[in-house]
Amino acid sequence: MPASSLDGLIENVWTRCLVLPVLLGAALGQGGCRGERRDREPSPTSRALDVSSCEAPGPLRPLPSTRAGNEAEIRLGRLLFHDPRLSRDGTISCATCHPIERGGADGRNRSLGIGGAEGSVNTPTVLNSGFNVAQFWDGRARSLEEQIGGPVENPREMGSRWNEVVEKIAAEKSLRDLFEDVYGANVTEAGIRSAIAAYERALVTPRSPLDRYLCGDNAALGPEATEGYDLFRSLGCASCHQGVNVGGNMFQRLGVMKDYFADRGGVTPADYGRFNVTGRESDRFKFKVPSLRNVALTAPYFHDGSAATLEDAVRIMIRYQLGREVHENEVARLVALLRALTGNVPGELR
Amino acid sequence: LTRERLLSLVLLSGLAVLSAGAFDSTDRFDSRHQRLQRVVELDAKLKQSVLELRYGLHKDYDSVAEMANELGQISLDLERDDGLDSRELVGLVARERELVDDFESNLAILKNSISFVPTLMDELERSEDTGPRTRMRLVELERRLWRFVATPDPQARGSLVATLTELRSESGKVEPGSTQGIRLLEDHVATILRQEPLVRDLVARITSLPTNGAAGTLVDRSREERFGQVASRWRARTALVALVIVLSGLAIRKTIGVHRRAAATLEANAELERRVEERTAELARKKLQLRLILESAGEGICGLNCAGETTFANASAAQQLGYEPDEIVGLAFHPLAHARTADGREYRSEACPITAVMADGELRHVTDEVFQRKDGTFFPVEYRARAMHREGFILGAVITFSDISERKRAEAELAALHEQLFVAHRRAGMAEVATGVLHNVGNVLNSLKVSSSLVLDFSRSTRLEGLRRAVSHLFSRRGETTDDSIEEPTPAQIHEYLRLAVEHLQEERDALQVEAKRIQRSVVHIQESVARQQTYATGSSIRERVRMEEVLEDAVGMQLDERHDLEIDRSYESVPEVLVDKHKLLQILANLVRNGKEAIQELPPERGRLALVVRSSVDGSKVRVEVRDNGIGIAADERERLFGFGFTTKRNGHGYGLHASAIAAKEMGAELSCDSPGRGKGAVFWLELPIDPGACGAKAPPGEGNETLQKTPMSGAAGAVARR
Repeated sequence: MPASSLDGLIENVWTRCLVLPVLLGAALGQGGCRGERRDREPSPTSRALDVSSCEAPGPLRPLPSTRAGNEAEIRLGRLLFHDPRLSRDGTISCATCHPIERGGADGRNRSLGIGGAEGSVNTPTVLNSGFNVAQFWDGRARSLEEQIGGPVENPREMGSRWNEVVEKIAAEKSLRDLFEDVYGANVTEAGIRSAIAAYERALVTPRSPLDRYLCGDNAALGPEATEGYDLFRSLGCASCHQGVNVGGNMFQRLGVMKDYFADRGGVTPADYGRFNVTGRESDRFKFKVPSLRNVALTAPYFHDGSAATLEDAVRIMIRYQLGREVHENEVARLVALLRALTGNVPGELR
Repeated sequence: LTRERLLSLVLLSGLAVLSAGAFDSTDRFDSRHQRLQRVVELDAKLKQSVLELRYGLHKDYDSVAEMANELGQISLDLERDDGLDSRELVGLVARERELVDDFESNLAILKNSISFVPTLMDELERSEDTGPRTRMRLVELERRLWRFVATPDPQARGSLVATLTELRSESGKVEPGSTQGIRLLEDHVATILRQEPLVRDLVARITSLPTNGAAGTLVDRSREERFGQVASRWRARTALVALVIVLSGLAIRKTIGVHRRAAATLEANAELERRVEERTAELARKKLQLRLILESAGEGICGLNCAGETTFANASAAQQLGYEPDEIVGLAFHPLAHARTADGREYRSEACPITAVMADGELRHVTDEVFQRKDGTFFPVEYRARAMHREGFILGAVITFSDISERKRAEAELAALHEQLFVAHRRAGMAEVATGVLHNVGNVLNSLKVSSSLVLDFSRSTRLEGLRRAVSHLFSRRGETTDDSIEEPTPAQIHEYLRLAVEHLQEERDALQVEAKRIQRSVVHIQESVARQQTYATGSSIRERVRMEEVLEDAVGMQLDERHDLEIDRSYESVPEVLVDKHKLLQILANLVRNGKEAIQELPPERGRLALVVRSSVDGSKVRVEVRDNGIGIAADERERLFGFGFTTKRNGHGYGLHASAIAAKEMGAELSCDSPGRGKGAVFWLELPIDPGACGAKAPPGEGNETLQKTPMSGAAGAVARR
């Protein structure tokens, strides 16, 4: 009698606790089986493409005056962007080399990493970088998320490791809470990348004089700059520097009409540019065409930082990309145009 | 794990697998198809944009770059997220992006030159250094250049190259001042000439890239896969439904089985409980009953242990002994209630039957002892002591006893009554006899009365008067004449008359004599009857001649009935009739038969034996009757007391029968005695009667009347006949 009653109990439990829920689950079908997916998973390709705030026929287009993106994520990204714990020794943050208030680049020929190590190329600006077709001079990162890993793990830059970074960031409760708020998850490498990228995409500098001019405000550009704009198109500059970012959407050889590197000398592997990424001979000495927005703030110029001033940069361009001697009046007008490309970073993002 | 449970587990895992199969990957196909569709779309747009860029319909590269990027990302996503083998597509997209990159930079160079050439030409035309021939050539060059740019066919190219060559030779010879500007122009035109086929080639390569087809192939493959998967999903769903049905069936069966079993168990439990309840109730009832029986038994019941100590006493026992029940328990029984005999002598425990029971386990039934109450008084008691056995050991004894004072008294009264009855019966017998006598005497007196009447009648109707008248007539004729009318008799007539008269008178005398004799006889009869009556009156018994075996059978008939399946051995010799008081004899014999019967009643019926013997005594002067039994027997010491008043060894005996029998035997001049080898070994009672009890009473006169008298007291019916 005790054994059989125990048996009965087990069978009872089996019947009630196992079979019925399974049958129920089967009956409820798909709906019951699928959990809701975590929303706002970091999405590497989302980019603000809304640049049609006004129509402009020319090769240059104005920046959008509104920004897309999750504000909380952007705020988190801002904190992380300025957080030196991303570097191994805690001395360098993203903002060390990309100070927002100074045009998103540190103004040095070569930036200094941890321990004073010098980088191999000039630091490009982080402003409007979301509009670039790729990141780095050689375009080896197709997205900002991808790009972020470069400096963090580069021994000459931040020299850190992602697991260390995550650990350090996760050690601070406020950041942990923000991660929880934004992603509903713990601190992760992907989260850090996503947040910083979101912040960087928000670093847009609209309403420059040229933008206003493009949107129909003819008075926005001074006469010289207006002439510069005509020159910019007639000389062929706009062949490469076009689009919303006035550059940044293609690769081009430095020295189309004349051999820049032969004249400069001291060619380093860093000078091979896109060749280092694709390995194609046709890509040797090709670089991502840099955006000219805020270019007045981001001296020195070129990947090697060889041009200290805008005038020098313009001259080099005319000489090597156009292959002709420089007319100084043209340089002045072009520089006037370039200065009209300076916009403003929203104060809350600085 | 039973096999059944293992099966269940297997079925459940099958269910899980099938569920996963049945409700899986719709997403994947959807997203895959969306992506593939997007690839096709982007590819088409990209190719269109490339063409538009090529022909200047489109000015900036942003959208191209974006599309190329998105295409690359999607192709990677397809491989990474959707598990689709999109290597071909990825390769094609990567190639397309390379080509687009190349196209962009080459196109930019081309456009750069194309946009710069007019500027340069303007400068050259406006230049002071430019001669008119050169100017002409420049115009020509410009015209041919635009033609080439518009339709870059070999002819246009050839003419442009020719014009450029002319311009170069012209300018070199004629106007050296403008050489630098011309050279730059040449460079840019050469660039255009160089770049244009490059760009055209790139466009052709880009537009001919089978990205679209690869995507289509993937779509087809994916669709096939999806069809397969849909089919297998439906198969899985069908199987799932079947499995669910099977599982439901199993579960239902199981549930039903469990419920059924539970119900059966419940029912069985209920039944069990009901039975337990019933039994408990029955037990309680029996216990109560037992207690009630014990408590309400009129008899006192005491349980004794081996040491003779009371372990239990019911209310009746306590009450009879004058104690509270609790007082008795724990005390030794014998000293408590059995220590003295009725006459105050000590009753030693060794002689006590109860003690004996403990020793031999035999039942003891005692009716002639007394128990002592708490207050020291005695009461006659009948008790039985029985051993309590368990597993072959005597654990103690149970005494059931009752105060038989009342019974003793009743018996005494009964005995007295019996005596009175006996006397009354005797008197009634005597009265009966007297009635018989009187009846006989009455009868005789009747005949006496008849006889005397007859005598009187005879004397009244005698012929003497006729004779006297005849005689006187005779004498008057000789003296006077009386009547003329009367015919005078003749002497012959007188003679005849006298002869007849004598004859007649003689007859009368004879009749009178007969009557007188009869009267005499009656008188004698009466005399005898009176004499017999005088015999009764003297108190001697009514004796008659009887056949001993008949009386014995009568006694057996009185005491035993046929239902008593009692074997009786009869051994009757032919013996003379004896003259006895049959009544007393019957009384004695009935007593003996009853004793014998009762003595063997303790034995199993088939073992009991009763033997009846009738024979002459050794010297022939007596008839001997023996009643033998193999019953309880009589101890030697009891034999003396056997015939005393109140002695009995039987349960229901009252000690009167043998006592009375002994007295009756003595009155009849008979001898009554008994013999027994001892307790439990049977006994024999015998009665010896003298055949001719001469010394006792008068000899009955022989004859008819005597016989009548013998019958009369024996049977009412006979008496009644006689009286009639």
